[in-house]
Amino acid sequence: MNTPAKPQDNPAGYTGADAVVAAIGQAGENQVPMSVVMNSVSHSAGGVGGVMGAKRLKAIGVQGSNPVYLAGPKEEWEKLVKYHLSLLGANNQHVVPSSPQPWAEFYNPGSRWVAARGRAWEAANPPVETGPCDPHDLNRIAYRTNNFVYFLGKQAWQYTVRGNGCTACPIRCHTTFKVPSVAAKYGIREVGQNTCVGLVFGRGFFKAPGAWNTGPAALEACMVGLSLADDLVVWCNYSQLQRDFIKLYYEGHIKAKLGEDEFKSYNWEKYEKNDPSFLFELLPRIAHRQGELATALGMGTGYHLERWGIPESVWTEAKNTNYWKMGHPKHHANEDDGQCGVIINTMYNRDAQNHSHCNFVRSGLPIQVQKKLAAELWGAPEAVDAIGDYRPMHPAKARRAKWACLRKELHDSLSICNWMGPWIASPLKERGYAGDDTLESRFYSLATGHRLDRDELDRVGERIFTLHRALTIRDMGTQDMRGQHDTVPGWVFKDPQDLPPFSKGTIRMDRDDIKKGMDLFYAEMGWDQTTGAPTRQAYRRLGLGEVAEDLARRNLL
Amino acid sequence: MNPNPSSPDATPPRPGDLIAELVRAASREGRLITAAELEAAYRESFGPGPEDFAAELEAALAGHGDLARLPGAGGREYFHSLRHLSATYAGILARRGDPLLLIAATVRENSQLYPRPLALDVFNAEPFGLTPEVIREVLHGMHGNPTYVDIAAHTTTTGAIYLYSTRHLDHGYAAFLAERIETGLVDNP
Repeated sequence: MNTPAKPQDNPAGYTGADAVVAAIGQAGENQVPMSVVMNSVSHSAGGVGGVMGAKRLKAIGVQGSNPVYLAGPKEEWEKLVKYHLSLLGANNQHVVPSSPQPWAEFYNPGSRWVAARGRAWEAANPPVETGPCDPHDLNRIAYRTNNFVYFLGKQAWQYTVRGNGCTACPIRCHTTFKVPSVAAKYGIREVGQNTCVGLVFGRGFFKAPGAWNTGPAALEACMVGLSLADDLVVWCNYSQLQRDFIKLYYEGHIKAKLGEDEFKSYNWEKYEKNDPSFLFELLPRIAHRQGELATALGMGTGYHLERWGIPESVWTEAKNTNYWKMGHPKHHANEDDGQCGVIINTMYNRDAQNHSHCNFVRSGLPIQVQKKLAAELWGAPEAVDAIGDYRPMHPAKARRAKWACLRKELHDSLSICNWMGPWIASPLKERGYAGDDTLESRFYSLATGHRLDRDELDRVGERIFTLHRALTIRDMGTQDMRGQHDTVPGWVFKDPQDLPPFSKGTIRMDRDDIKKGMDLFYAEMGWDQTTGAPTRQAYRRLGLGEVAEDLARRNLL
Repeated sequence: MNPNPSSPDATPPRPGDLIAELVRAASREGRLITAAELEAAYRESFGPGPEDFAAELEAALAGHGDLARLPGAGGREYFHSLRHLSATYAGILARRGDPLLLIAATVRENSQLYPRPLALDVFNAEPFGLTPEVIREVLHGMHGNPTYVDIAAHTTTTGAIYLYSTRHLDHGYAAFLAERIETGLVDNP
């Protein structure tokens, strides 16, 4: 059913208002690979809409009226939840406010903790003051974050209605906003809600000067983009769709590959003027596979490049693509976290979606505080560097990279948010800003009655991660993960001013140092140094002996 | 402080305890307090009080770990409670009377501690609360002044001006960090 209404609206009509619905939209129905499944207005999961569409599965509704049973005592659970709340920061576990607050020893203008006295959700009726949000006041956690403001600047306060987000989560990282002017101008809803790349979906298509990104035109582009993306349910692949589009247009690929009629069917003058209404021309065509451009964009970067005969190296060598490998972009790599970021980005065959590492380095704490916490957790202060002041590889960085990967797997498996956790820093001065690295195992043990300490639960994460590795080896038909999977794009080793690696002010990495980094990481994992594949011993250590034998039968061990 | 001063058995509160409570009350309201203001508030609330108020103030500082003193603009001395006003925030309030000192000290602290340059528009917002005109005057006042020779500026691709101290950040690194704050973070969600 091709309907302009929000996809989850109609399925909810079948299941009842008390059901939670995850639905695909027009892109998924048309089996466009760049499509998502959406839930609760603005929560999306990338790349699977087309799979559901191929199965003629429009939506999944979940309805339930029983409580969630806990194995442990309710009082203990309440106590643990309160303790957890006391350690929370704002979105991404940013633990310092963006501006000086009476209670705060530190502040960071780059923090997502944007609440302050005098800053209010001005589109609420009446407006709601966010206030200083002392971290000891657990009833103010939900006021700390406003990602509409974080991404669109101060102008966004006047349009903010409230914070929103996942059920029961106090962080409210999705913001609800009301921009009345767009209803008449573009014929779209004046109320929107989203976060992260879903929020800036429309803005990302335009190659505009930096200051434009927090101005009124960018705000309108965001409103148009999120409205269309929500209706059509198109995926952006962590904004790779937008970066690809810009590069393809401005480097002449689109003009070269489209027939004259199709090229002229788009209003490029409008596009070059950063007019958000251009998105009405482009996005519906992607969702409906209309024309060469839209069809190619809807396939995703890897297949698109292949279809148009563009060598992948054109993308891997260009920093402005943020492209990593195998069709996916980087996700918090060397620009945020030096060698740790690089190692983590090699490990997946989609964007890493790993925030274990970057939530720490972007917490807002001074570098010396970060180093103190890093030394406690990973054995040496060298586990973390100041942003853009990267030092050579160190074993503690490999330990941190391993920890980051295992925690991400645990979070995904336990339905814990890796956009917020782990909680290794906190806003609490009296704790020396330490969080608690045992929270996951404590929650797991209380909820299930299966008692595991931190290291034991991390071992479960390692088993999951290693099984994931085995599946990649099996499906790629090669053990040579190091050569064929764990690759690093060329742009990582470049600097626009040709600054050498390890100089202040560059994210450029050194090839030999990254090789050493991979060696150290494989050693931490117990994987073969030459191939980067888990050894028989590594599989057996984790109780995956059968997996090893299966791979051996396929000559993949 | 005595929780129940009306009780016949209660020990009367000591002047130092009362002074501490006055400092805390001011800090709870988000303001610093001077010795003279403390003495006036003391006499208004509790009567004549000690003859040597300065000595009692020293005793209060020694006996209450959350109390702190700090120098401010124009040689004034301020008091605050760390329970309610951090040293960082109190330092900003104490320097507000001298915008030149306020901006220079804040820039140096940011360059050294985090390290990072600081956008000029940070000083427009609370708790700095400086107008664009005052900020312009400060920048003009810094120019050629040997006391502030380490304060340097960088303009990003978005047109934003960032200040940093060359004592702690070299130009290339400051420029990199400013660009990252200005465009890198929001483009890297």
